[in-house]
Amino acid sequence: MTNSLYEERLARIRKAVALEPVDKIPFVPCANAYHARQQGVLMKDFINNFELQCTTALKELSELGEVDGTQNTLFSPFLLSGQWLSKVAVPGIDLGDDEMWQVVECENMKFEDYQEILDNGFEAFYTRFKKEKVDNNDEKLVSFFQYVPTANNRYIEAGIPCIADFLLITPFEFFCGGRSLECFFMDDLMEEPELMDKVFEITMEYTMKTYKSMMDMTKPIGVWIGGWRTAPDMLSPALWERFVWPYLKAYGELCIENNVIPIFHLDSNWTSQLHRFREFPAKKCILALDSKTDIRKAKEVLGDMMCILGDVPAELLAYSTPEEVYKHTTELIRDIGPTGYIVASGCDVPSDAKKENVLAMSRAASDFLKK
Amino acid sequence: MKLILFSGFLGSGKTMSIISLAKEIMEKASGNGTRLVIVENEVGETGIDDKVLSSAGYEVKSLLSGCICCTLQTGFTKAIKDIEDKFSPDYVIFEPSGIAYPDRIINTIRLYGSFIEYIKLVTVIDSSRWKKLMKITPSLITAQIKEADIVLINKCDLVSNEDVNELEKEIVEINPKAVTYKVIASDGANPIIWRDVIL
Repeated sequence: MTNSLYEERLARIRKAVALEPVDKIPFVPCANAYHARQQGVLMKDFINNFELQCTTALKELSELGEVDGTQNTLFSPFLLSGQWLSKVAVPGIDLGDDEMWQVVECENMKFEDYQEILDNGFEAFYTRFKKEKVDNNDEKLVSFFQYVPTANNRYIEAGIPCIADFLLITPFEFFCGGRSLECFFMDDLMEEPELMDKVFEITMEYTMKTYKSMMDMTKPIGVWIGGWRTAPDMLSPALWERFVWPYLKAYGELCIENNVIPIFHLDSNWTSQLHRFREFPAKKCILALDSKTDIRKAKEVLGDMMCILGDVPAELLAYSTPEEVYKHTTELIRDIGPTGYIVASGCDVPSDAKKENVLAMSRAASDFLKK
Repeated sequence: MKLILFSGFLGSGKTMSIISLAKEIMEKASGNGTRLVIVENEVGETGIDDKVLSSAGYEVKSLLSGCICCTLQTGFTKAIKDIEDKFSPDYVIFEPSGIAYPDRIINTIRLYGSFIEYIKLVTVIDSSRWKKLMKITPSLITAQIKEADIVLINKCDLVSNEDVNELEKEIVEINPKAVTYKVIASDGANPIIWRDVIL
């Protein structure tokens, strides 16, 4: 059951996606550890006590001016394990009580594991792997998933739409994490490309079906399609074309077919391949950049057909002044918006961001159309 | 603080090169209280054996790996500021992730690290995997060379002289200003390599 404030903000976001004029530039931050730091909650408590996490985040958001949405309602570092087939080091157990969680990068998945996928399908491998090689990860997420419906309702009551209910992970991301980047790049992609094609195809049979079911069940406003390790500046054009784009595109099309906004969450530099996003229907997607892609080039190439989100840099939020952040954000709104643009940080607001800087980002969004 | 960054793809030999530089710094220092801190942030298992270095008198601070995006840069910037406040070291050797673009890190440091006296970038290239790396991730490797003050062409014992010379020519084309050295880092680098780094 939604409320008028929720609907007003959601309508604003949808107008931005549809490239229609808005009454206020939407501000949709993405943050987790930042909320904990600002509210004085230890990281170990933040990730283990979901009621506290939700309360902490909502309180911080209520202190950030006019917030129009969020990019998640709840977080657990163990989600990263399922994403990258890797263990995570967590505060309170592997790290100090107030330290940031970290993905433990190593060759967790062996080359021989691909044969299991070929023989038994991705689901069987994934279930077994998470149990045996990622410390029984699904068990660790039971309490997280139990609290998600409550968290979602709390955000609705607070009038804050969540624009990304869950994440779509490409085969590249799974195996780059599990095999370690070095092994995956040097051994798998280069030496066994045909095998990778087959494994990716089998993986997608599972993920497409699973993500469709999740969309049917939760009816999300949008979902993240993650491009963390798949930036064009990480790979040769030929490898990117073969192992990244077809899968990103398939996920984007799946979303659009199911009336879900695909939010392409793109880390690192995607400037050279921005034009590919013109392959999607207009006014259906969000391009979320992390300040490493040339956002003004993105506007030039995609501004007539795709909403752009971001990309106030992490280091600006952490180390600069409110005046600088306000000026930077205003210039972004001027150059990228005001239609078809959503103000946010590049990726997460960093844990050491100064509150006055995040507020300045929010104020710039609030003030722009009042001038 | 004098900051020396080591760049180069995973497994290129950065760690051995860092150990060589660290030893040279401490040998030159010998008794005059020079302080050295080593900061590592490697995606993957290879990293500095901090126990080995700690026992030899080096202070090693680890930034564990994480998301390859924004948090990498604020994490490092914060670490450098914390290190300056806590240790006021003369030298900091930083090994960022082997998939990091060094110019981005340097730009951030220059903006927010006014206490840093100079920054030197040493890029380590694995000559035995050069051709493969340039096929897989040409943009990254080129960027790592382009910004370098010094390029160490490593693992020369695994490659023919002809191939090493050809590789050196390609590096010079990418970055004519860098000083290049052919090395076998696991044997320890010739101290002469570090003369432009330890000023």
